[in-house]
Amino acid sequence: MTPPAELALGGLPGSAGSGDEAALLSALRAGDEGAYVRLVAEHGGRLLAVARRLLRSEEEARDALQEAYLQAFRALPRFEGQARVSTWLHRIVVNAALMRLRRRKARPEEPIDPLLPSFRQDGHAAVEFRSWQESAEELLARAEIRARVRAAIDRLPETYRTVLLLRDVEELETAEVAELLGVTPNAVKIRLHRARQALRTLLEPVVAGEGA
Amino acid sequence: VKEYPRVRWSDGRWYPGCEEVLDFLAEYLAGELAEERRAEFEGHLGGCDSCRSYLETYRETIRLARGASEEAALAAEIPAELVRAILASRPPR
Repeated sequence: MTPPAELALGGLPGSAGSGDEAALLSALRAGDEGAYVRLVAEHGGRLLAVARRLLRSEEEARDALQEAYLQAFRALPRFEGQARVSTWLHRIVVNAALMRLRRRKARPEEPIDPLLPSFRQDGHAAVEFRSWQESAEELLARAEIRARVRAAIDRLPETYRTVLLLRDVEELETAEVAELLGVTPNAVKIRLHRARQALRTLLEPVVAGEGA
Repeated sequence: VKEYPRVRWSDGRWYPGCEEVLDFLAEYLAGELAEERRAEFEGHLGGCDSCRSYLETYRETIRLARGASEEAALAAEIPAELVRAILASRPPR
């Protein structure tokens, strides 16, 4: 869906210079309607994608985005502009989505171990690993592969999927993810490594061109 | 602390085994291993095609996850009715 003409404001999200950001912030604080429209229209699409990725539900993603903006509006008087507006909004949306994931979490997770490499008693890998024929760049050029990679991420057990998305896709720091999830930085590192290993296993048939 | 078996390479030296190298791969890639341990890992990787392939495909996995997810964010637009709902939810000043 295309936003109406009055909302189609130029510029990529987060591309505004610091002068623009300062001007935007003071306009927001002054209650300028256009500044509010800019804040939602310019950043909302990318933020909605973040919420969709984490929640895998359009309805919940929209609700999380709405909650996040409401929190942001309330926090505006205290926001001092230490971070970029795009970064600040991104963190609020991630947090709103994680709150929803936490509330949702009730069913037991599948174990991740079958997706991890196995080893013989002498420390050697049980199977020999082989390189992939095509590079990530070549593979990513195909829409079907991109869709299958996203589907593979969605197959990871939730605990691991969340950490992989926050670290490798949203590119948050380990300490930040630890704080958001209420776990130690070491637990984040372990989960991330296992998530990558499991995803690598799930991607093997995809990169080998085998059917879904 | 887990005890990992070590392996003897053709140069007569002992190195960490595949299990230890793959368990600490993220730390190795992030440059978080102490120098001596890093050198040992490199010794193993230098003589083990299988672990080198694993390392390479582990990196490619990260690139694939990032690349495949970025697409959805770049194409995403916010529906106009959602913009209106968000703006309407502003607390009164």
